[in-house]
Amino acid sequence: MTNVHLELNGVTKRFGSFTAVQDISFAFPAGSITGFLGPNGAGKSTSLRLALGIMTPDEGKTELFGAAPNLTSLRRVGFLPEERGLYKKMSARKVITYFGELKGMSRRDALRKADELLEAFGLGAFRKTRISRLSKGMAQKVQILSAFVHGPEILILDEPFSGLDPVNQADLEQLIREEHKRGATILFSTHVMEHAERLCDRLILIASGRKMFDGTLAEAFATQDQIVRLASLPETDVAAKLAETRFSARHIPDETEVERSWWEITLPPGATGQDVLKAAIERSIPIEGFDPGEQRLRDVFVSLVADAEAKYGAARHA
Amino acid sequence: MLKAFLVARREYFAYISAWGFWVGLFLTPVALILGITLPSLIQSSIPVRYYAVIESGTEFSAELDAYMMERRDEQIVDLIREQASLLPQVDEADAIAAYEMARSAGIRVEDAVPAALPEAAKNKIADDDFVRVPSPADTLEGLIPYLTGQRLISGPDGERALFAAFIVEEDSVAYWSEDVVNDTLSNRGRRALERIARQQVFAEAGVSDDILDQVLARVLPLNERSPSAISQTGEVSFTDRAPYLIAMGFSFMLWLLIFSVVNYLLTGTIEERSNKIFDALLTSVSLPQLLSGKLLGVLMLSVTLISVWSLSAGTMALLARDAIPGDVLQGLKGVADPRLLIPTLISFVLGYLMFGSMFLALGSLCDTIQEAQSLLSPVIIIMMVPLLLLPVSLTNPDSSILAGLAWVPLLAPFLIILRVPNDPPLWELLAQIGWMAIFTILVLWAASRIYRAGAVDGAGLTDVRRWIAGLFGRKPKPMA
Repeated sequence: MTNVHLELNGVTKRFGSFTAVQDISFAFPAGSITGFLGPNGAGKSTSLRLALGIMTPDEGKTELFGAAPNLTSLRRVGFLPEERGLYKKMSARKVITYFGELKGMSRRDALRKADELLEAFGLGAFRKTRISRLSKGMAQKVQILSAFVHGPEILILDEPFSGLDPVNQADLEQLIREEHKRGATILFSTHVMEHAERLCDRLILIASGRKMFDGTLAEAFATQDQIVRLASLPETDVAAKLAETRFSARHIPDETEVERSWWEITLPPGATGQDVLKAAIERSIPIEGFDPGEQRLRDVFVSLVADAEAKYGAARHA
Repeated sequence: MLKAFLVARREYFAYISAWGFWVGLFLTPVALILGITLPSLIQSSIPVRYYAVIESGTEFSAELDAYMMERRDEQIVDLIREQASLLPQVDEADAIAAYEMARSAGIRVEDAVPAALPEAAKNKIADDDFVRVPSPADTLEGLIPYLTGQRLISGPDGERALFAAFIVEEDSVAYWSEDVVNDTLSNRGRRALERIARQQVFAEAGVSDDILDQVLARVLPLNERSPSAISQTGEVSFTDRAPYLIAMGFSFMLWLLIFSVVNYLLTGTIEERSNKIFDALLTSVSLPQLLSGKLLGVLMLSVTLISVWSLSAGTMALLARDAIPGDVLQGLKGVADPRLLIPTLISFVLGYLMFGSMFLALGSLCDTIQEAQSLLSPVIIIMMVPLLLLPVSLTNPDSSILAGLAWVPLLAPFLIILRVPNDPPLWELLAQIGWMAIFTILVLWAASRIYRAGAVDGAGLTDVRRWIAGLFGRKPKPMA
């Protein structure tokens, strides 16, 4: 699989009696932007640390560019850890340069690139300012730039948007798109589903230390039943009228609605809201209102996490 | 190796740009100089203190005056001897004879000092520290206001409180003073009383009171000699004692140096842990590179300290070379003796690595310096042991306890140096250095495992099971 840059295969990591991740397998194809989703404590950061060889798995193996992670292959990776930290007494420019040099850049190139990045991200005036004197958002930008400075082929960003204001979040989204356009493979973990929806062509969701989903956004939506809502006259039994169709309807009691009543209709795979409307008209159901029920990634996330908690939550603390 | 150097360079410049480093760099020699010179500075700055004597006659006060004057003359004669050893133009015998002649002619001490002595030496002549003034009262009740400072008394140095008073009675002498700690004057009074008693007993026995001087004049001189003395006659001089003093100095400097810099390793690692920098670093450098880089960086810092301190000491010695006696100067050349220098350098490197890696491991387990302090206490106690042994090593360099403790790896870096001037068997010295090296390697290994447990797995100081698991657990796959 030459087009896979990073791969975890059956990886398990335990801390004493606590299983942080259990039998996790996934691969990141070159050139993808993958969202790594999961609730707090799901095992996202542990998975990323395992993927980068910072920790060694108890079982399974990880491969970076086709071999176990090593400093040579890690040179091609930029990593932003979840727990932010920089040398507080160093200037923004020196921090970025230092991390560039550690990744194999010459001092001259690292300095030049640091200046370019700081200028491009509105920190040009602060390049000689100590990290301790920068705002939290600015310091976080410096850390992000430290991960980008050497032009890595893979960017692994652990919760890159947390702590940033909306303007800086938009800047970061733009930066991720530009890096992707440059050819970088990007993996980022996030709690904010909107970022994943806007940026990712692929999603991985883990919960309770297990992988719960791995696929495209469309495939994620397909894991859940889609629901539309239809309003009719109070005396109309929509469920009975649709009984012989492939749609099932459930009444939604609502005392505030006097002149109409609402029904929730579950769509089978492949069906659309148009199909529901067509079936209703064919069966002479008076239509007083219709809500196509736009699907959100958040709903998919909540549902999959709830499943995982129910199935594996207790077993994780064996 | 390049990455370890990059880490070292960052560490070095981070510390060297810190304000505290420069304070330590300059304050340490200042503190040492103060430590050496302060006692004599304090002594010379003591104000003249007045005392009075109440007695029916003059026997006690006359003997006390005579004793005080003899002490002062002895100090001047010592000063003349010291200057004669430094300055060829000062002839010791002539200068002493001239001084004694002037004094016996009733000339004051300050005026009797030979003119050949330089002004700097004359300035060393301290004033009388105690001056007798006429008693302002005949009774204790009358003296109390003067002794308590309620009333002042006039004297050669102006008006001031009466420091003390001797009240001579028929069968005893009372010493009265507000100062209950300083017993210098009371001891001098006691000495004067002994001299009076001696004179009386000798007179009663029909013996001349200068009989004791005749006895002392007949005592044969005892010359200290050693078969290993540098002098052909075997006479022991400072040059012979210098290696012991230099070894003690080296050992103390080593102690000072190691514990000045290992603290940087502790605080630096705590900063990295609390600032969560490890993960970002460990995707760029391996753990051994990170550890060795940090150790190297702080080693460079200590080399800077040594260089600056040595240069300062060398410059001061050069500037003051005329004031240093010949045998002292000769002895100080022993600083460059490879027999002492090589074990010192080895002890420094091994001692630094041993304590440095221990402090690194400790720092990796702590989020705050307060947390580290709870574990620092036992380390500090161990650190203090070599300091306590320094004076013992000078008087008993061949002590079996000292020889035994030199096998304790944590003390070895300091004690091996102390033993070198005593010429221990070479095999013993090499074995102790070898054992220290093996122990250092073990400490480095254990420290790197604990460092991983703390820095990578987040084990805390109280997670004893986790860092012990890190110590003895499965070895992680190395990063190439």
